[in-house]
Order: sequence, then structure tokens, then C-alpha cells
Amino acid sequence: MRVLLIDTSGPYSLAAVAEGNQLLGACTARGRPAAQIHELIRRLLPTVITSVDDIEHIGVTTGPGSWTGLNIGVTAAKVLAQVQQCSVIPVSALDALAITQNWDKGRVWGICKAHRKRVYFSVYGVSSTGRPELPSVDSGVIAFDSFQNRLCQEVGTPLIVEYGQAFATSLSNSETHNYISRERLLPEGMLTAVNDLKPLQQEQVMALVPDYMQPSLAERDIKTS
Amino acid sequence: MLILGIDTSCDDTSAGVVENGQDVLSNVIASQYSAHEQFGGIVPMIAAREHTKKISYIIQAALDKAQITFADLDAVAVSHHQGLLLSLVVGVSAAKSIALARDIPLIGMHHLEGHIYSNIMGRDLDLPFPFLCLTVAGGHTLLLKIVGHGRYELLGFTRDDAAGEVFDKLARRLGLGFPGGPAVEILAAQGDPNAYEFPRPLLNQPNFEFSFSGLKTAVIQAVERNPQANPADLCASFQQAVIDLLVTKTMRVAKAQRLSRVALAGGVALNGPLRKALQVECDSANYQLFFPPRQLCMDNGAMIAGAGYFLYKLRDSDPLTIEARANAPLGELGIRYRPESKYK
Repeated sequence: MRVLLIDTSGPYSLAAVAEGNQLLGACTARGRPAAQIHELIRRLLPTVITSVDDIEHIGVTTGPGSWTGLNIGVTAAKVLAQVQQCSVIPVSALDALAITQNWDKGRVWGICKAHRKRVYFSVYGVSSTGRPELPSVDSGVIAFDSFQNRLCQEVGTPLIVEYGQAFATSLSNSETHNYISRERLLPEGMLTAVNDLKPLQQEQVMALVPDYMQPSLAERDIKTS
Repeated sequence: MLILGIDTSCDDTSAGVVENGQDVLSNVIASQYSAHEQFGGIVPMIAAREHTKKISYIIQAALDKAQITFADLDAVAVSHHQGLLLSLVVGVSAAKSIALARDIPLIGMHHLEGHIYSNIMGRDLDLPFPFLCLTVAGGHTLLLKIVGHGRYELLGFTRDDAAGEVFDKLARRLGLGFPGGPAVEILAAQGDPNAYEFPRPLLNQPNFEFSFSGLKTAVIQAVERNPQANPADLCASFQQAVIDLLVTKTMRVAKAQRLSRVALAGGVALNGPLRKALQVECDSANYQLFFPPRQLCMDNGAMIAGAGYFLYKLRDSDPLTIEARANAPLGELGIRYRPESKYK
């Protein structure tokens, strides 16, 4: 299975190509995903495979992350898949973040900042080898205070993997859990997650929109009034 | 040459296929009226999300209706300048994917160029250069001298609100729904255009500029001061004021610039009384007036494909690094048609 991986969820754009479990090539660029992701793919493909026609699946992050970045990345992936008649595998950024870890002292939590003092989270059980297992056992968005309360109730020592640096100061000194943060997703994480997930049917690809797209202020105003 | 045009500059997701810049093989538009109606205007985040949901279906529908496949396309054109940034990026990303996958030229277009070229498409006309184009829609109101392909001179523009935007604001105030233009026009047909004496800002000034904010304030105040006022009379009087402003300034510019061909473009070009009033004035001055076909007046992908054909012949294709820009200069001469923001 030859897969093109696309991530535009953060400050880095990522394009990578893999076959099976092997990463054939990857390139990243810092900055605005709108201008970069297609050019990254165009530059990458000739170095690892002959053409875009060799792509069988496209793995793309669907959030959480940059609202506009995700919109661009998901649109790029679904239209590319539409033209090439291949399928899309949507990947949670938190899955791709957590899956590269190895931890045997408790569960693994992937987190990412949401607006209004809230946290996107996904919780993963770990296998006997210490690898986080997909799908996550729980996920959603909660207030940061509630998140901290839930951490206190964890059995063992959880591993917190944060996408970004928003909670670095609040969490890094705690003795009840281990904490690491990453500025960008690694292609290895996306590849591992993609290999654990099922491709969408063509009709699902056409309708795909990024997860985690928050309601606009106008929608929130209507809901609360 | 078959070009797929994509436009997601505002609240309509649209794609169209045009052959050799003239023959419209398909023009598919998905409106988002129902998604925005409860807010009385366009919410950019909702518009962007709706574009992402619909873009694949609309592109496929445009190809199916034209009875072609992606493999038949010679180029893809997309609005990447002028509009809502969150919306523009969706169309740009889709167009880049098609250009990348099929290895065909990508043509980045200014949204307004699509409106201008909608006058040339879908009809057997000799290209009428130079001509005057009154481009009037929800986001802009300007008078352009179209010198040649891709070459425009700015002769006049609005200092504040666009004419279409004022229609929407009045419709929202009267609870007529969204979009406001057609609703106000329908109601105005039952009213007296002389019932209210609304101001015509800058009408007698010797410049070619428009201003609609004073008119907007006046009509909103008229609604607030007299809630029992006949909305049909309000709409008719307001519409007449807008028409007087647009027609008078357009004819003044045409005369001053000695342009005997006049074109009307943009969503407000659908307004029947405006078309009629401009036709009467042009007939009396012995000017030739062009209207776009009705299906090409609103934002649509076919006009982008048509304009893309002519402009692709002028310049090379664009790289995959082009970006969406909400406000960008127009044409080869880099026309800036908005006043500098007071808020730096």
C-alpha cells in the first residue's frame, strides 16, 4: 500500500510518501500551509516514486490544529483523491502524536490547546509492549481544570503528549505524570496511525470535512441566546 | 481549450467548464443561503466549512454536466484574489490539487476579472474594447475602463459601502431574509419610488465616486422612526436612489471618457429596474449596453474559466505556491480600488 501523507494542522506543513511500514521520503516546511503543501508534494514525488498516479491512499490530518490549515489540507487530500480515484484515510493529529510513544507506567494522553481555556484530548490504552493502541478509549474537548482533575484520578503515571506548547508551564513540573510536547507531527506517527485505520469509501471522501472545526462566534451567540 | 473554473470567494461554491473562453459547457452553483439566513448575513467560518463540504460534489457535477472527465481538462482557473480569505483558500486548494494531479496549468484569477469577462462569454460578440464596466455587487462598486485583455483603468469606486451590501442591510432590517437584493427588488415593485426622498450622496459632485453609507443610514433611520411605514414604499424609494446614483455616475463617466460601450457586471446587475434605467439612458445617448447572461451575473465558476482562458493567453500559468488574498490589486496595472484603511 503506497500512501501519501499530508499534515497542515500546525506551523509546519508535512508531505511524506510511504510504502507499507517504510517511509520512502518526507519533507516539511515551516509556515503557511496554503502556499506550501501542494508545492511540497510536487517536489517530493519525483524523488521517491515516479508520479502521483502511483499513490494508492492519502492520509491526512483532520484535527485538532489550525482551522485554516486543516481546511486547506483536507480539501487538498479529498480533491487529489477524487482526481486520482484513490481513497483517503483521515488521521487525528492526537493519534499521530501519541502513537510514536512508548510508555508502560500508565495510559497515554494526547492533548492540544482549544480556545477559551479548554483542551482537546484523546486517551489511549497501551499494549503489553508499551505502544499506545488505536482507537482512543476517550476523546473530546474539556475545560483545562477538568482535564487536570481527570489526570489526578489516573491509575499509574500517565504520559501527556502535547501538540504545541500551550500548557508547558502548567504541566511540566507535575510529579504525577510525565510530560512532553511537540511542535510538529512526525511522519512516522502519521504512518503508524494510517496503518491502523481504515480508508474511507469514495462517497465518504467527497463529504469529508476536518474534525474539530469549532462553531463560529455567530453560531455560539445563537446557541447561547 | 477546456478550462475548469472554480469560485469560492464568498458564499457560493461554484465550478464551471468553458471551452475557448466562450462556450459555457456547465456552470454549477451551490448557494449557502439556508446556512446564513438565520444570521442575516454571511458568516465567514460557516461559509468556509460549507465550501469544504461541497467542493468535491460541485466540481464533479460541473464535469458530469459538461460530459467530460478530469483527463479532458487543459487548465484549471480559480479565484484566488478578492473575497473572504477563509473561503478563497478552499477553492485554491482544490484547484491546486487538480493542477498537480493532472499536470495542467493553474491560472490564478482576480474575482472581479471574472465579473468583467462575464460580458464577453456565452455570446458571439466582437470583443468590445475599450468599454466602460460598472461592476456592482455585495463587496464592491466600481467603474472600470476595460482597455484590453487584463488591462483596466479605475475611473470610480465607492468610498464606503458597496451597493449590494446596502441592499442586504435594508433587507435584514426589514426581515426580508438573505440575500437582500432580490427580496428588496420584489417588494419595491409594489411600492412608490417617490414616497421617500432619500439622499443621493455625491450625485452632483464632479467626481466619479460613489458613497452609499449615508443612504444606508437614512433608510435604516426611516424604518426605525416609523415602524408602521409601508416597506414596499421604503424599498422602492431606496432602490430608486441607488439606481439614480449608479446610472448618473456611469453615464457621466462614459461621456467624459468618450466610451460608447457600457457593460454591467456583478450580482446587482440582476436588478431589473437598474438594467431598464441604464438601457433607457444608453439608448438616448446612442451608447451600446451589454448585460451578462443572467446565470453569469452571480458569483460563478464559468466566468472564472472564461476569464482564465483570455488571461492565460497573455501570461504564463501560475505556480502551485499562489496564495489566496482577501484584497488584491486588479489587472496588469495593479489597480487598487479601495480607500486606504484608517485603522493601520
